[in-house]
Amino acid sequence: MEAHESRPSAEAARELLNEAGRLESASRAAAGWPHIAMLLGLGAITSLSMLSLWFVARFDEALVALPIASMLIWLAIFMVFMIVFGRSTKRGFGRRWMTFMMIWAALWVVGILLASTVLSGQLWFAILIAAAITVNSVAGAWLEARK
Amino acid sequence: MTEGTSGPHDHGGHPRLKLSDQLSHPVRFSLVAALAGTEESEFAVVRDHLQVSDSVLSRQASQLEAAGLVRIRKGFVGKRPRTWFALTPAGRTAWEQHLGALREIANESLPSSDL
Repeated sequence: MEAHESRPSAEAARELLNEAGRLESASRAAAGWPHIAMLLGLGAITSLSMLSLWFVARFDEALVALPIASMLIWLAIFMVFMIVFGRSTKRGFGRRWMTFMMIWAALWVVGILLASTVLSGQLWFAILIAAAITVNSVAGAWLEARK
Repeated sequence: MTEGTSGPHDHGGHPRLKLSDQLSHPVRFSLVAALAGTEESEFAVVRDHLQVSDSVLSRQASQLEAAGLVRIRKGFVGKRPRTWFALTPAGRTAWEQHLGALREIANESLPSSDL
C-alpha cells in the first residue's frame, strides 16, 4: 500500500486537528504557574524591601541586614519553587522573562543606588520605585497567566 | 516534508502529499502537538499529557530528534536527572505545514472513493 493511500479522511483530519488543539491548550495551561509565582513574589519582596530600607535608614541603620536577609530568604524560596516545579514553559516565555527581568533589575539598581546616595531618606522616591516594581511584576505575571 | 509520499498515485499538489510521515505517527503527532504551545517541556509532563509509557515516549522522541524536529536536553535538578523536550525551528515549520495539510484535507469535499 502506498503511504499516501492511508492518509486521513476529511473527518479524521478534523479529529486530528481537534486533538492537536486540545493537547496544545492543555500543555500550555499546565505551564507557567511557578514562573507566575516567581514574578509576583519577586515584585512583592523587592517592592516591600524598598519601603523597609527607607524605614531602616530613617529609624535605625544598624537593622539594615534584617530586610535584606528576609528578602534573600524569600527570593530563595521562590527560586526553588520555580526550578523544582517549573517543568514546562509557555511559548515565547524566554523573551518575555528577559524583558521583565531587565526592567526589574534596572528599577532595583536605580532604586538602591539613589536611595542610598542623593535621595537618601526620601519617602516619595521609595514609594515611586516600589510602585514601579509592583506594576512591572503584576504586568509580567498577568501577561504570562493570559498566554 | 513529503518523505515516503512519491509513487504511482502521486496527485501533484494534493494536501495528503504535504503531510509529514514523521508526524503522522499517533504518538509523535501528539508529542509535537503538546510541545507546540510551549517553549520547553519536561519528560514527565509530556508523558502525563500523552498518557504513554516512558519507553514509548523515549523511542518516539528519539526518532523526532534524529529527524531534526525535536531537541532533547538532559540535565539535573538537584540530584535528580531530568529530560526536556523542545521543538526545533525545523520542527515548528514541519508542524505548521502538517497542520496546514490537515486543514486542507478537513475542508476538502472529495468523494470517499478517492481516499
